[in-house]
Amino acid sequence: MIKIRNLCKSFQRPGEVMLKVLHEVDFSVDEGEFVAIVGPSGSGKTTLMNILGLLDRPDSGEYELQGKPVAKLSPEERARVRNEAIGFVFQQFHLLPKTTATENVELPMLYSARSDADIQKKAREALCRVGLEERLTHYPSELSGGQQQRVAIARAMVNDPSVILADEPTGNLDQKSGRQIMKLFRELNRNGSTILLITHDNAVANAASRIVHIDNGQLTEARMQVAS
Amino acid sequence: MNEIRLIQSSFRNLARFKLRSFFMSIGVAVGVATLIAGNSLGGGAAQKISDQIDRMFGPGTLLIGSVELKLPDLQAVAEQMDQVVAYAPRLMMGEKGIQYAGTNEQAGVSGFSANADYVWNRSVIDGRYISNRDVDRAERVALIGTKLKETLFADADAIGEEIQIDSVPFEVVGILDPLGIDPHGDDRDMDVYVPISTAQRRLVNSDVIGNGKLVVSDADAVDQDADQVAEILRDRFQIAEGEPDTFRIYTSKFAGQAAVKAKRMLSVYVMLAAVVVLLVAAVVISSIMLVVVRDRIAEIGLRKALGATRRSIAMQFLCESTMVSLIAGVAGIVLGLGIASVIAQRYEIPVNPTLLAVSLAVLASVSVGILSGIIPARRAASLDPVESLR
Repeated sequence: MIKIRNLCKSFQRPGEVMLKVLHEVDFSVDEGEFVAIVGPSGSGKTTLMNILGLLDRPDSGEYELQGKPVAKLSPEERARVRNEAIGFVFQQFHLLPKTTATENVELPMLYSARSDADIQKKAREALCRVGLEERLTHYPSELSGGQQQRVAIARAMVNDPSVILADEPTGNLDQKSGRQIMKLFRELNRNGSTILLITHDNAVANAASRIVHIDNGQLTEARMQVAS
Repeated sequence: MNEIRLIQSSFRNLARFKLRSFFMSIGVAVGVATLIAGNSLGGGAAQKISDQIDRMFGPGTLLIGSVELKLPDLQAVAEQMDQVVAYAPRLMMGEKGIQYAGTNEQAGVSGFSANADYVWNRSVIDGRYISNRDVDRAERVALIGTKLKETLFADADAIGEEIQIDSVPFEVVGILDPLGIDPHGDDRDMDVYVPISTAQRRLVNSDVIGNGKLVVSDADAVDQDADQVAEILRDRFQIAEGEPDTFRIYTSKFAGQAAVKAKRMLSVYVMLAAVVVLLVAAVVISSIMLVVVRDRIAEIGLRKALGATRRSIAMQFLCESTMVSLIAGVAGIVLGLGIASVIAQRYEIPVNPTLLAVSLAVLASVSVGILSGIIPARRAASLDPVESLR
């Protein structure tokens, strides 16, 4: 599903020394896996996620998504891959304000070639799968944090992506809502979704079936868990 | 994103931020309204001016004006020029006090001859015109304009009633054709016409008439005729070689050109004003859109993460600015027509909006929208998704 080899990425801010964020990273995720990447802030985990999500490009190294090399695609091709193969869940939810839950979930499909009827049907189905069938026409301001993140998850999976990338999905939630969100991820994973979770919180990471540690731009496989 | 979704989402965004959309549309609406109102009235106003010039001049006519001009001068011109078909003097006495049954009014009084209804192109709608007998006997009879009639008599019959002009009693014998406001701004429906002989003897006590009008047989030859008239008058007024004329001659041709020129000037100024307003509108939309882009950085980043290409982001903002401008343009057309019809009613000008102006207005608002959207759209499209989502 995801295979990266020798991936390097460094940043240089003006007046500062070159900062190697990712250094010769090798990493792979198989279809149907639920992987957590755990690391402290500044460990390079968000940069890794941006590269995996095709929002950013590596300086060098290879990246294969579903068997196709994607590291050197043009911006337009990367946009299409993001649309079709990747679902994002962010810490800050990133829902459009003054826009209903359904319309928010419809958003990624507006950039695809789906018919309007198909879009509406899929958005409704996705919101039902995350347990928000009662909140279809609510605005984000009328939803709790946990509900907003559910809308975001519905949006991430509505296009049937190859992988869902979740960056600190519980970071802005209280413990109870956070646990419910992790429960939802596990459910989705059981139903076949490949999920890649990034967090600094070991407790959150424990929901995953495999945990990878990241520190100073290098990955170390922590332990293998028996798939729950 | 396909076109229909693009338009739908633009509409939704504009509807979500109504106040901002309103501010963005004002400039274009005002600019387009100016264009449309100016055009619909400009054409009408120019039409009215040229109609009135036609009425006052008529084709193939010459108007002579001089402080020396007397009736025998006019007769001499007519006798020496075979092409003069008819002629009639006019003695303008300016505003005089008119009294009737305790009501006082100021009105422009002029003296005319019996054939002036033909030569000066204005007859009566009620009663009778000045007759030869009136002129021969210097009768104290008067024709009054419709508005003066209304002011003095309201709904009552004016014919046969006695009014006073500078305390001289006159009998009203006719009501003049309505003419409206002339290009000088004078209300011609407040006119009073009296026989020229009566005017000379009873009101001004002078044999100077001031104006004369000639109707000639060939409308295209008025300029040559004017030269001939000038020659005769210089001779009669004994103006030495090299001295300037003490009279002026206007031809129907000259008046026609003046009307065309006035119309052109009017439309140029209106166009210029509209263009300036629209340019300002473009700057306003552009700067508001830049703020919108900055406001929606997170949204842009998100849309990019969800699969929006640079092109579809650019199109989204371009579409929004074009949409708001187009809607504003349509509102401006309606507003402009509204303003035009109010003014038209007030000044009795025909409203004739041209299809060209309406299409031009639509084109202008679309162009303003696209033009003002370019910079914000480019800025939005070039945002880095990683930075925007931070």
